[in-house]
Amino acid sequence: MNAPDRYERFVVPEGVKKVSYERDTKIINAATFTIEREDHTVGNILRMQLHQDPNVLFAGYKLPHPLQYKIIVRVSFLCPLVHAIEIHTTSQSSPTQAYNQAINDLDKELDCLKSAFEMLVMFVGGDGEVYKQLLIQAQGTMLVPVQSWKNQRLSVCLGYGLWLTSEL
Amino acid sequence: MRDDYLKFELRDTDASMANALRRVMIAEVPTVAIDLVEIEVNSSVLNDEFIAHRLGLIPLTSERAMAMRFSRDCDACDGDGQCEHCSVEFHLRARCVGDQTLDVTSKDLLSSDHTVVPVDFSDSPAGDDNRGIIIVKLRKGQELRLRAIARKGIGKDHAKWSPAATVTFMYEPEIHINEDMMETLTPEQKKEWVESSPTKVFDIDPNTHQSEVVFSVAHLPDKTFGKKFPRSYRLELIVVVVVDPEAYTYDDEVIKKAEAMGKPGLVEIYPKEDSFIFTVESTGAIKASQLVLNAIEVLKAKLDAVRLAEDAVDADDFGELGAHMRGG
Amino acid sequence: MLQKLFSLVDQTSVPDNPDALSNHEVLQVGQLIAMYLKDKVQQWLYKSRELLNEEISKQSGKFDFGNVKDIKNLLDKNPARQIGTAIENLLKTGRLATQSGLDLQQKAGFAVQGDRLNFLRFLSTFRAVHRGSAFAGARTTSVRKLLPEAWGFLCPVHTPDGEPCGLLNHLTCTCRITSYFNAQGVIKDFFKMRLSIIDILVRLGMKPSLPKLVQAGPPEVLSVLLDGRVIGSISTCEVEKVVCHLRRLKLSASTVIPDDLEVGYVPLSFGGTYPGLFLFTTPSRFIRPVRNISISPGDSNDMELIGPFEQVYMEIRCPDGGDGGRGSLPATHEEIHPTGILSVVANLTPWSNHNQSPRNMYQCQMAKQTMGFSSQAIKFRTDQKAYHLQTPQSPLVRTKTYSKYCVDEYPSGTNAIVAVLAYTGYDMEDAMILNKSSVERGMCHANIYQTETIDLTEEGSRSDRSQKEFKRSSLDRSADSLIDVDGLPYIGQIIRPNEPYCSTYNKVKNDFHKPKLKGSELAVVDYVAIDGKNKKELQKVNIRLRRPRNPIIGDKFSSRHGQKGVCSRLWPDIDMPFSENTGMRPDLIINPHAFPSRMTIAMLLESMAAKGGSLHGKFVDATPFENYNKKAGEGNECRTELVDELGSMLTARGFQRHGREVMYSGVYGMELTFEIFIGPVYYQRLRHMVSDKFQVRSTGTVDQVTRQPIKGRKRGGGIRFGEMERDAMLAHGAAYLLHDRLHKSSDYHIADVCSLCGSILSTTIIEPHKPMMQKIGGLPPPRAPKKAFCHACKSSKGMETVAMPYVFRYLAAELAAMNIKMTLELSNAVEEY
Repeated sequence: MNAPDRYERFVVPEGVKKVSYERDTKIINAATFTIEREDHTVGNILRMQLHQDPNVLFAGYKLPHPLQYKIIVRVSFLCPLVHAIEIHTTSQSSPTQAYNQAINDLDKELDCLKSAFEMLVMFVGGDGEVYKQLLIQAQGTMLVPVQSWKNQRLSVCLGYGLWLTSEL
Repeated sequence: MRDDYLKFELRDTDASMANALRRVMIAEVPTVAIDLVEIEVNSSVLNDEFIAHRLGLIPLTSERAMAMRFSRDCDACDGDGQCEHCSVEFHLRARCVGDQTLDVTSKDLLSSDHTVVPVDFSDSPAGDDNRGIIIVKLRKGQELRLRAIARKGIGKDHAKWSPAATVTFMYEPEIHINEDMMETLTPEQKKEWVESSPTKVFDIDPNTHQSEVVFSVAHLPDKTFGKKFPRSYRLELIVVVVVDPEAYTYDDEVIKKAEAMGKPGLVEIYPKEDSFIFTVESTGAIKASQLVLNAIEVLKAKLDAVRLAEDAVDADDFGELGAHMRGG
Repeated sequence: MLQKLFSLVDQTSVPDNPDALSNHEVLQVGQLIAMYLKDKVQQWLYKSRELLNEEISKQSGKFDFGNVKDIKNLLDKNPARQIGTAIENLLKTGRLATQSGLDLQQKAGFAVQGDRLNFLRFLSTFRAVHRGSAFAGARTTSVRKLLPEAWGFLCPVHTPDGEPCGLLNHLTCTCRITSYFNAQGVIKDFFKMRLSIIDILVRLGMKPSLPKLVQAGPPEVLSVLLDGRVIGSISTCEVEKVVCHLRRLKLSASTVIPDDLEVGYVPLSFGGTYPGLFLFTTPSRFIRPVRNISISPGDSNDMELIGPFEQVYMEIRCPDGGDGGRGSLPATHEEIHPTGILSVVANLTPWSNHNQSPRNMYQCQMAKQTMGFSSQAIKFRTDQKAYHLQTPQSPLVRTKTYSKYCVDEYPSGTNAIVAVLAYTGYDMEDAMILNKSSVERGMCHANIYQTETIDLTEEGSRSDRSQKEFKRSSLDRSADSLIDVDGLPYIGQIIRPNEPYCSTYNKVKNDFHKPKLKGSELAVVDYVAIDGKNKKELQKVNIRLRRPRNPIIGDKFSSRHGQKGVCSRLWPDIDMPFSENTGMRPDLIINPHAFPSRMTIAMLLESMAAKGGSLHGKFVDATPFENYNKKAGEGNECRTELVDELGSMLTARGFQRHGREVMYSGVYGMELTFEIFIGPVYYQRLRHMVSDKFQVRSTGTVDQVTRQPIKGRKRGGGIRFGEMERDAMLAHGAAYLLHDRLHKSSDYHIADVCSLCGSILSTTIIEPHKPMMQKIGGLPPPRAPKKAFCHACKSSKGMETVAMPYVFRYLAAELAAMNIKMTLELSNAVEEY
């Protein structure tokens, strides 16, 4: 019938900016970012990351309506899946800075996570034997085998926030 | 850790990151799946759409998917999505000639690209006669002939592109047993309490030494006690230990049991807010470990995309109003 | 009979209840047709006699009675074929066209379409008993009442609510109707049967009434009636022995006594039903089997067939511990199973004894509306409309009846993982959220098969009959991609709305006709069946179209417990809550408010049982009343509740006892405050779908006479904004909205009114160039220059334009036709809008 195409959910239509930014007219140092075709995945981590920033006074996000794109198609005015982040910072930093900083931080965190995980995969390689041997070699290095609750199970800290638990 | 199964812990982060990873793994890590089916002959009992739908749901090995292009963004072909950068072609020809019913399975799908083939589960211990995923069964005289085009896509678009069967995480529980209070329980109560948890979180320490104290009651006549008195009984020192906190499902059964036994506070369980036990199970399209890496990659790309353009930042920084606001 | 009347007058007995099932028989199809045939044959004979008489009385002498040819010629005036057509018409229309009325209370409604919507519906049409449409209009509700006499014969649950409630009943699963044939299919010899019964009775001490009627009546002796005829009397003290003996003979296969003989012994009671021994052998009585426990248990056959008349006076025990009958006497019979009181469809509801009873009624109705497998050979059938579920499943929780009737051959639902929680607000008010990914993976995918019959011999006038053929135009190539050279569509071809699906050629007119696909959704040509009845040329085809109907917002679903709901969203998988230990996301979310007021406990039980069953890898038996059975058997020793049984199944696999699970929000990844009740429940897809129902209109066709929007979904009409809606608007004080709906968006009209004579009919517009569209157009025209002219006043003075509904003008015209003049008094108090 009149159902929108499936790709409407994630394909930014032509001529629409992925991120748009609007300064709040009433509150100083407050702004609204509208991100097209994104959902809670990005919204939530951004919000939480912004909360880490001591300069950020308020950060929240909303998905205005789960069917937003439908409405938009009709009005041909705004864009589907509008996702607004409102940032309200203290005067030391501007919302845009805070916003980009949050993204950079997240990026770094993910980089870290990635390298740690790659290391994990490299060490383990899907084979328990290799893992066991590596464990022995790893003694004293950054890999710290930690004896776990069961004797058969070992946890290994692999640098940044990543622990591997494996059954031997 | 197996090809299609992975369990790991993620520490020092919060739920938003864990959940973002989960969401990306399910819905946004690209894979390849059959998207377009041209049916030449179909005299099977299933109708065309049904077969096309079934074909779409067959997981295809998609290690290459990250490098492939979405056919809608592909420059090489004029958006018709039929070049090697964005699509893989499959052919299926099956005709039943014998009296026996013929199973048409994913192994009958012939790929034009050896890196993208239907996932092979034959090394799984299901048996030798594992013939892949059944698409349709044909009777004598029935025929199925089709051409299919697989494309890159993401789970958000259609579930067939989702590489993850299950991705879940839980807070790691922190379990404290109040030892003093535990000691006030009888061995039977302890056992009862341990068994009240549907999953095996607690157990009685097998190393607990058991001593047997024999009361010498032989010199007393049986009448003394009126009824039969046990000649001896065992005194057990039972220590309840946590064997597997990961098995705990936050069902509060043990806490309720403790309360029912009149011992509230016997055990205290808190979720660790910054530590997650992740379980990833893949459909076979991508290795579970690769899935996690791809998810990180995709999430990074997503964040990159939502970064505010430089000029916007500049405009804000040097804008009159911005300066005014910072001044005020 | 007379004795009975006297006893009634004496008030020693009470009148029989005409609504009680014990006094009922069934009018069967064969009987009706035989009656009708007899009537028609008789009519034909009368008419033939009349014709013959007439011919003879003419005395023209030409007519020779001995000449077969003459008679044949004469009788041809009254063809015997009309008897056949009459029967055919009866089957087609269900109408009886008789003068006598055949002693029936209704003349129409004898035919019911055997709808193959799904198998259960098909089946239950053959097990339905209608009380007669004569009662449907009756004010009294007493006929609709469920009387205790109907116990075990008519299902108390399986009756529609609403208009035919209590009139349209369904037989229970064990109930049968006696027939003219015995079990071997041989026609019964009723005369011989009756003689032998009398013979046996006489031997047992009955005084036959034949040579001389015994004058005595109750209480000394009781009269014995066989099929309504008094055959003798028997002394009161011996009658019980006789009854007992008759029952034993009923069971033994060797005697001539039929196994469905009804031995209705009404014992002496002062002030009760008139006593006597009433025996019935007739066909079309209700019968059902019960276990006779008074005879020695060693006997192989202890299943006695009883009727509703005798049942009232029998002592039948129910295995759940409840005793029927008078209680004071020991039970002589036992029910086979408590579920015997339920119909086939009602028996399929798992644990229906745990549900509030109206919910079971709703389920019986909804089970008959589910999409499923309507027949096994759907590929070769050309039903007008067939619903087909693509990916059905066998229910994890099922009753014994389910396997007994092999409902698996015709499955009608899916085991959906159902979470009971209020999530996102889209599950309010019986709406339900479906998991988008589940649907994409094939949950509840369905098709509608629709057959279009194109019969060229029927179409058009008789003159150009057989002048048509299926042919594709060689000039107009626009439809070549859809239609093959033979004028028929390609199989597997997708046809969009307003595209042709076949092409016919009229040889006489030399033109092509292409029927177009109606509706707003696409269809796929599934099958083309050629009707080659006449060998010469193809004249008739059946084109079966397939319409994919995968679940969308607005489609109706229901569990097996009368819990129906409409899909409100296809919610993305990642936004659904997920279970902590299994990572499972529910397929379907329903609101917890669906439970407290409806009390469908069985649905909760089903959820738990299915979860336990799937963890253990087995189906769970959910036969109602089963645990009562067990209790009675094991002597109250193990009084385990069903819930605990199911709970231990769950704990054995590491799940929470009550079927709840800790879940995390899919949106934020945080733990939900409460544990969520989640488990598989068998969900049925009902045939009501938005695609068949949605109605939308902005502007469109208007009625010719009133210029108001037309009604009807098919024609693109609007939805009536009726009187009650108007009242609601008034109550809200929403005058502008009201004006908009009822006037501007309806039949807005600007009329010229002559303020002198007050007429709106006598005015005409003189200027020919005056655009007509101003009258119809939505916007009021710029104040019209006074060009209008009143024919009555013969002047253009005092002409005013007034906005009004067009029907008002129509009313004035209609009134004028009745010689009533309507005058309008115009004032300028309110500016014209």
